[in-house]
Amino acid sequence: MRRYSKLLASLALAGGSASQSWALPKPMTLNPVFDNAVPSELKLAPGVSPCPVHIAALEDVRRSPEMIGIYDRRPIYAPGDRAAWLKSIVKGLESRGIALAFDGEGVAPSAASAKLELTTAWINNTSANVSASAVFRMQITTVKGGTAGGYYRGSNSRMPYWSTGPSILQRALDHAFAGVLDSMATDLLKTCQT
Amino acid sequence: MLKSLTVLGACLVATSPIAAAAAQTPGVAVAPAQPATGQNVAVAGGRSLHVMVAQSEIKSDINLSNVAVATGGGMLGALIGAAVDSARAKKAEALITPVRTGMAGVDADAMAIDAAKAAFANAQWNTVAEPNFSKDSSPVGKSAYLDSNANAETAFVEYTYDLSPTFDALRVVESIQVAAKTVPAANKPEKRLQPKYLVYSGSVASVVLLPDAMKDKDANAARWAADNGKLARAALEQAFARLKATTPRLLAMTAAEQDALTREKANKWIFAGGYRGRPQAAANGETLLWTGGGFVHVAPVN
Repeated sequence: MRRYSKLLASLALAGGSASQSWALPKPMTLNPVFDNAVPSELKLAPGVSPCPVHIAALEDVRRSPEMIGIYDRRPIYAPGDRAAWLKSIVKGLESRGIALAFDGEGVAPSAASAKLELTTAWINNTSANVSASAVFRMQITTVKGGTAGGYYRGSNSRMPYWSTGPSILQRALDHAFAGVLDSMATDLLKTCQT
Repeated sequence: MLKSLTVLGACLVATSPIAAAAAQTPGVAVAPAQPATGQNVAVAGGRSLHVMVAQSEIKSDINLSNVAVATGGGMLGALIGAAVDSARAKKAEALITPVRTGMAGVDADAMAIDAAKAAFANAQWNTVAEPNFSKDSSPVGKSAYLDSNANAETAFVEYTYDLSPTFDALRVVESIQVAAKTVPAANKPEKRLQPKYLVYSGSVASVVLLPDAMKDKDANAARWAADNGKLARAALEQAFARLKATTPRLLAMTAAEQDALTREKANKWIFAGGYRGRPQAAANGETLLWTGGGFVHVAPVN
């Protein structure tokens, strides 16, 4: 039954797109903070202390950062307080074995330093599917001066269930960010293993 | 279409070199007004240029399932077709991810702005050095822009770039839509963007083919992604370069010239790069099509 509802929603969307009806969907704004409810796929060793990391810089470097995408002619906007939104996303690392310290907070002497830039956060449609992708650029400097980093990506493509409303768009991007956080945490945890 | 030509035709004739020369040469018949500048002429009330790229990375595409049609259009066929499309979309998103990673750092937005600046440089209505840019190409966003600037019209130029469903080509499409700020017949602001109310619309596409592409899209995708997306980066630059070169030709065409190309029955329609059009003369053995609504350039990646 659930699968049928999924398919029917998809058909409804496809039909709407084809007719290009001018009953336009209302613009949507993402939730003000990231919902870290998507389960991490990281396997953390039990009993191990969180790995301390100092977030030395956190910036949204996207062009037109107020936009998050367009799905079926519905514009999707970023939250108004993008700094708080961005910080809430990165705080998702805390459930992935990382003990975060932002600028102005106490930093453990053994903490690696990370500079983060959000380069992509976008939702659009691939046929009827909702496709979301998110990318952070991260530069890591260990206490010994070693450096690592690169682009960390997460994505999600899903067929709409009951509708193509805000909740499914929000969920697709949350899943994409969860993937980014998993891959960033994997590399950050390595700084505590060397 | 070409409303601006009718509005400003008289102005053009008065200022054209032909008219001026005829006026100074008694006995020479004045040629009928044949404005050759199409969408380049100045516009009463002004026209702004608004560039849009409503994506942040290269997009994927799929061939839509025809199961619904093949099964006679019933509900079951439609359900199966939708499921097939969704699975294809997921597969395409998975295949394109390494290409996106390889293209990290490529600023397609800057390429689009640069292409628009070059393509519209000869338009007399284009008086600003830097066009306005946005990632919001939704009707709501465009309608808000129409209201936010003082010009009577806005040329919305949207660039989209993607890989074809079989990953055998990288495509960049430039869609030009000129909308008026005031459309009395439109009962909602967004309806000013409806095709029937547009002052002008046209498009130019550039299709850059993967050399020796295979039917195996996994293999094709891997080639676009290899070496930090070297081929994809080159193809994207090549595509924007072709748009820069071809767009001025489209803008300069009159409605009559466009109609003549469309009706040129001796020049048979052909297919190239996934498009259908009448072939036009092109340099270096490359293919240029007239589709009826614009040009499509097809060439292998250099």
